[in-house]
Amino acid sequence: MVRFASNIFVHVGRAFLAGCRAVGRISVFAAEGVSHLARPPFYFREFYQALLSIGFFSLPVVGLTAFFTGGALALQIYAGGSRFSAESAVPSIVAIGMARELGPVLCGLMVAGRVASSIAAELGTMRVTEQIDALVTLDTNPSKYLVAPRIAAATLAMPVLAGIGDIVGIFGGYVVGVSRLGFNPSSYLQTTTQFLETADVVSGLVKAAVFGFIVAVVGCYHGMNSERGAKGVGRATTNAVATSSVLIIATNFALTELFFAA
Amino acid sequence: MPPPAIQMTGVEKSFGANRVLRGVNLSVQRGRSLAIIGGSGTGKSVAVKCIIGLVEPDAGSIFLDGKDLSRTKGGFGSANYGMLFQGGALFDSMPVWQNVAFRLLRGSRGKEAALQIAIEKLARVGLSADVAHLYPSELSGGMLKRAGLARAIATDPEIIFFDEPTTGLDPIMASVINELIRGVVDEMGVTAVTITHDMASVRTIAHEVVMLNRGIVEWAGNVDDLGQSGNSAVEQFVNGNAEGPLTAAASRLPPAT
Repeated sequence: MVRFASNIFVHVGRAFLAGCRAVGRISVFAAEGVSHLARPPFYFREFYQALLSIGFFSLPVVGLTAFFTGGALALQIYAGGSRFSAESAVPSIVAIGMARELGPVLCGLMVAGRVASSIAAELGTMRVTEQIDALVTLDTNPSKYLVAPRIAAATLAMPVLAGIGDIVGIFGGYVVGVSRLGFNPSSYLQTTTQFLETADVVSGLVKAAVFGFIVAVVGCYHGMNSERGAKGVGRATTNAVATSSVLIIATNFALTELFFAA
Repeated sequence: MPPPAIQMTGVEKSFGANRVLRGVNLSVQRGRSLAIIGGSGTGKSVAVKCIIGLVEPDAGSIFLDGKDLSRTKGGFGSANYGMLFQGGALFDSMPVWQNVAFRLLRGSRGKEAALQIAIEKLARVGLSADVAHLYPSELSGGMLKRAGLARAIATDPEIIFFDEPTTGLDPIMASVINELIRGVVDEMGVTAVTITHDMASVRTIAHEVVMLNRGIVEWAGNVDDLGQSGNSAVEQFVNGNAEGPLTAAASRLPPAT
């Protein structure tokens, strides 16, 4: 019994230390990537390509997710609100919910699934095919060339994506509210803007920027440290999505606590 | 006599409990071509990665023209060198000409001048100008090696490394690549270091040979002396015999890498 208990402590201790090491390694990796953003040379072509890949090509998935989530939110709030005669709160709660929480979080998770995996797979393949070693022999710092542009692009693109997600989500709620729940179109729009404050929107956009940073750093970290072979790249991709998704959820809680705790 | 272009003294490198290099000493004079031979996992690639700075040695020193690289700003990056990787290692995201002109595009040269130089270098390795605008995924294995070689010589380097230049090629293409490398090395007068276990490559490309075995130098000498080395491990490797000291050692000990 004593041995069993001590084994548990050993395993927990090892897992804790491994977690601390991973956090330390990712922090150093992120700090190095960020430090390159302030020092020339700057790779604008790589930044532009990352911006296009992370931002523009994520628009369909983010837009569709936000639209259906806004619609479902309107239905849920209407059904729940009708129990205590609060159906009229649907437009404002949809707007506040999308701007503060669902817009950035859903956008972050969608981009984590699409972009963190893509970055990890691309850099992992570059690692195993010696393209990253080739960069070094061509007098180019891999972190500056591959990591820094992706961090900058994801951090800048995510607030824009989340903002668009907010608008589309609110529109999804509007479509459902007007077509299915019998709201008057003009009064729905009026109620939407009546209770939505600047702080709601800004806090959501700040969250989105942080999530973008997380997605890029985690994707790059797992890609750059990918093990050899198809299995290694596959594992890097899976780890990138899993790690960034969990970090987004956890960071969302921390930021919500920071912004809105009374 | 001038100091060697590259010299390794007592270089050691371990990955965990795996001692890959156990005190490697080798050198190559400027303008000479050195082949590092040995079986798979004997530390050839790690030795070259230590020279270039991709891997940091645990012990020992590496000198470039007599200067200790650990005390030289920028390490080996201060040298004008090129490298041909085993699989070419061309960047998938850009066309061949941008791969070849990668370093030039980041210098003061304009895009047009860089394109012109890339086409010239591609022509030097036997690739037509049409290939310049293709992507690496559209090239055959032999064309990838040629394009990789064009990139390695794009900045007229003084030192070139070749990592398994004929691996994965059919015998005819391997022979073509060997002749191409020899032509480029002779014409440019560069110092060359080639990692290979292809003896045809060694005899075509190299002036001198170093054989690594389990992380140490088993034999070093002139390429013409390979046949009379008097070393049973070298003889087994050169002749490709299944039985011999290398096989016996490999069956007794865990692999080096």
